[in-house]
Amino acid sequence: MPRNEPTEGTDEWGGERSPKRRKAVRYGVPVAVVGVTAATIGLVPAFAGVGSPDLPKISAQDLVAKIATSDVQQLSGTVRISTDLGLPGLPGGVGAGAFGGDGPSGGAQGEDGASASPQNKLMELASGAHTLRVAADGPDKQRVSIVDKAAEYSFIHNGAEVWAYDSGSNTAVHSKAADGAKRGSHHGPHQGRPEGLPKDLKNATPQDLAKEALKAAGDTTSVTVDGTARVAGRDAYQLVIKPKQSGSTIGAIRISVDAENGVPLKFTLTPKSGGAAAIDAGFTNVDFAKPDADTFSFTPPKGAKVVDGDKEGAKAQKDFEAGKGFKGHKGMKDFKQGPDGFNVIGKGWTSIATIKGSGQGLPSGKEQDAAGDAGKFLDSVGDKVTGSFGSGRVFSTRLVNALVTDDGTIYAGAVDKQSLIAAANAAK
Amino acid sequence: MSQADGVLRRRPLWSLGLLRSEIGMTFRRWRTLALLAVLAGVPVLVGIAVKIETGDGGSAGGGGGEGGPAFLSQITNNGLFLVFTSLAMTLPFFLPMSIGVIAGDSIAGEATAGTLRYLLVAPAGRTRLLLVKYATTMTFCLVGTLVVALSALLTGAVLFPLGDVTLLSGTSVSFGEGLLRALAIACVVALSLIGVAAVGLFISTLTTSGIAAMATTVGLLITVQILDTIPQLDAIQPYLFPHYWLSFADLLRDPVYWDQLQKNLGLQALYAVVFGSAAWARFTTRDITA
Amino acid sequence: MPQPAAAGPAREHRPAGDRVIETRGLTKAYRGGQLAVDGLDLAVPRGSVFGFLGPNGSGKTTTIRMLMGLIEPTAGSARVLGQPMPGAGRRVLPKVGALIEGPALYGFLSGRDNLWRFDAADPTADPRTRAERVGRAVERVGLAAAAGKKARAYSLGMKQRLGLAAALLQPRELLVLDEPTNGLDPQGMREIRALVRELAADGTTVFLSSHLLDEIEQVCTHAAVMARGRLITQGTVADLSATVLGSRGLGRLTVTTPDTADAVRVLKEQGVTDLEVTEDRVTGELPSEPSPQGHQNPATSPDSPLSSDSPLSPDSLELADLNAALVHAGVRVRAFGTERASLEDVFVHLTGEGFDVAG
Repeated sequence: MPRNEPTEGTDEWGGERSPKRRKAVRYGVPVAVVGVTAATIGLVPAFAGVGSPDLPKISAQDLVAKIATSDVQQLSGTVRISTDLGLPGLPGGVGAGAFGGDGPSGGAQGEDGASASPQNKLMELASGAHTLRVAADGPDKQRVSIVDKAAEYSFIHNGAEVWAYDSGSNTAVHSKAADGAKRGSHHGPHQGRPEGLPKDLKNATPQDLAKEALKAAGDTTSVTVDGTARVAGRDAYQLVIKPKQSGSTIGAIRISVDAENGVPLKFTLTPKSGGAAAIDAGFTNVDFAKPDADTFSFTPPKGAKVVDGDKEGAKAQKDFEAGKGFKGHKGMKDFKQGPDGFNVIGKGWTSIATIKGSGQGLPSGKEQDAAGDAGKFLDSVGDKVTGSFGSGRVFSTRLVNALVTDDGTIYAGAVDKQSLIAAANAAK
Repeated sequence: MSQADGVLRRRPLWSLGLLRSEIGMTFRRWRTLALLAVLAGVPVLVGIAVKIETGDGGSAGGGGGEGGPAFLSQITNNGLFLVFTSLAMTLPFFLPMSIGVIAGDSIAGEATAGTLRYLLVAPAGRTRLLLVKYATTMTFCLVGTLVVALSALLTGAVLFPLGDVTLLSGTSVSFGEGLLRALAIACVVALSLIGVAAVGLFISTLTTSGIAAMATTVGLLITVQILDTIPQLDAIQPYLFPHYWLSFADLLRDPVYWDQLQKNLGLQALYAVVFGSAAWARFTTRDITA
Repeated sequence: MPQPAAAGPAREHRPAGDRVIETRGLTKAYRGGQLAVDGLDLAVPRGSVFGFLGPNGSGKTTTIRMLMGLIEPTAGSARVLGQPMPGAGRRVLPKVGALIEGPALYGFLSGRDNLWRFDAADPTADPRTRAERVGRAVERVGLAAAAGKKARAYSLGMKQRLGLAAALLQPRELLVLDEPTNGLDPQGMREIRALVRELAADGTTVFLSSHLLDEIEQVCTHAAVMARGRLITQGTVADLSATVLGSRGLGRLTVTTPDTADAVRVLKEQGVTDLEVTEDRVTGELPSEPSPQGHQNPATSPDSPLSSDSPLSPDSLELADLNAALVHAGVRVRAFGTERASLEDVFVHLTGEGFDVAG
């Protein structure tokens, strides 16, 4: 090899960058990437929050009216629901319609039917985070899909046909909408919801939650407008609803209302005890264009098990007469105590549902000594309380408290413990 | 020294030579073939199990389908679902574990054998060698995934009927489109693994023991998988690389639900960049003493 | 001339092409501050067969790794083929063949595939000529018959040859061979040494590290001696033997005889000093002569390497006289001759310690 670079100056001898410096610079690359990412994750939501759009002022009344008169019939989008009701050990259904004491009725469904049972899906919705895809085109066409990990539960209402399809069990539940229409107690697009299919499923969208919340509004409630926000890329007013009654466990309900068409886009319920929202449901994206007609068509796939939902529903109705009586507190059906007497005490936010006991309550303290484990288990989930009514246990969640007296009477509502005891005492 | 003038010029066309050599070598190793054989065996076992289970005419899962592997109940109707089931079953552990073995061994294995120093004085170039190693690992991701998918497809075709595919949303699509979606899913699954591949590569640059790097990578994978299931840690879980792995199933919705898929691919890209550059920083400044 | 490297090499700047390897103050401190290499100033002339000598642990391998860009020096700098390392590694290393700390192979590949692999790692290697070059390299190290066998079945000697073959895949300007005869049988050693000489004759500079002194003596024109991370000396092999040993340059006279007492007496009369008796051997220093130093000393030519027991022409006359005197005195001589000063003597002399002591 000829001396191709014969006189590379002697200055190069000492001219190299220090290895330590080079090392530091190179390690800086991953560190910088992490930093930029962290900053992006940290700042983007902050910016999004700061970006309150400038909207004309509106009174609370007008905003409520705007929601009521909203005639949006067509939309599609994705809804994110996270619920943190603090009820790990209790059936999830308790929370779904529990707020306000006047939640929509779920009715009792045939739990032992197909695993496509809408009730099961509702239970799941009541805890954790879920994603729903919704689409609606007028009162006759709706579709709601619960997007699960590698599974999906779809509910499709198209005119007279109502289908529910569960991909996990490959089961389709079919009903005729006409049958259920007479039972439909619901407002707006939910009319014609048939028995045996999930009313509450649709009620998980911000619109329905908002409407339920507003129904509870009255003199027991303060309704204010609190600034603006951007939700799912749309400008929105924020409506804040607070119970005036002190016994309520509900801190505040915040509803983001689309400034343009009055559609509630986001619903957040925070308990009085503070912490994370107990219910947080909002569109992550929304489109008010007419959804594709295909969206609402459903033919049961080949090989799927098809269940006649109407029959199932009727059977369930027979099996659980209680279902009707439990309106408003469908979660209570899980205490299969028998519907000796269902009653609602009080009104507004602090209304308390009572169910007269059959005398065969939960194991009392005395029995507990003998009953052993069962009693211990109850102690672990419920606090023992006494009052002039006698004694019982209070089961608490972040929103709903329930008092089960030793004689089996149940007092439950979105109220604090004292209110329950007071109600029990008053009832005696 | 007559060739000397030609020697100094780099020939870009041939710089792929090392990659070819690396890929060829990786797939000729007995160990790699064993990993692929295990991966190919999973769908066969699942298929046979489902066949035996439903041999008396009942449908798979029935009411008990809940909690079982995804899509399991559909396999008897359509063998193509064995592809999805197999991918869903291998993605949490078998696939990333084999990636961990390949990635963890990539640099550290050469160091253990001592061949690393000869590659570097060849001179392979440290950045180039690292890129080649990463590209090979990613090739293995793709091949491993395709092996699972193809084995599942063949098993499914042999044991079960094929036909229109029922999507998660209850819509049916033609078998052809189902195949296309299966291919897309295989690609997404392969891409889901580039994060763990980058982590393995980084770990591989930290040590001179191939076994230690493999064990660390696989151990880390298991740890992260466990962390991803602890509810108290939900604040950090969206940043764990396996968190969105099962989002590949979103390709089977109608319409496709992109949100989680995008998050998954974004997260994988982030892991690839962070750990890839960390591996680069480490490997290019490290003393090769083995 | 042995060149005390510290003596301002910057001032007597020579064209870079003259020095194939040149280091200045090359230092490597490992974690904990222990200096593996301490201020090394090495100069390897082009065309030389340069022996790099030192006991295990003296810093030879660390130095070689720094020269090859595998290890970053803590301080100082190194140039290989006139260009800075590790910076210019991509330009320099294709022209350097290396065998570092023993061979390392992929056991699951055949010998030939191993060479393919290493050749593919060199971006300057032409894949069109790869098969031919691999074949030639395998033949050159005598592995042609075993090239198709899996490398894990190779003996250490075969692995060593294959490692050498990898270093010979391309025409190289510099070969860095770290302990190339390690693990070889005597026949293999001879073959490798012959190969090294052959390569050197082609004009390739060979940098040969070894802890085998006679190996260096047999094949090297130049040598450097390292101990405990420091360079003790460097220069031509002949100069090292001659100058460093000074008066002892002639070596010691050794007489093997059953009549040791008589032999000592006679030798003393003849002016031999420092006489020692061990069993039936009598050794002693020959009387001082005019300095044997000389650049034309034939022993420094690579073609006639140094070897022990070689008769030294300037002294042969006197040695004959000594022998005659012994025989005249009735001493029965079994063997008679001088033991030429070896590099081991040089090493012991320089470091004051045995060679096999690990640093």
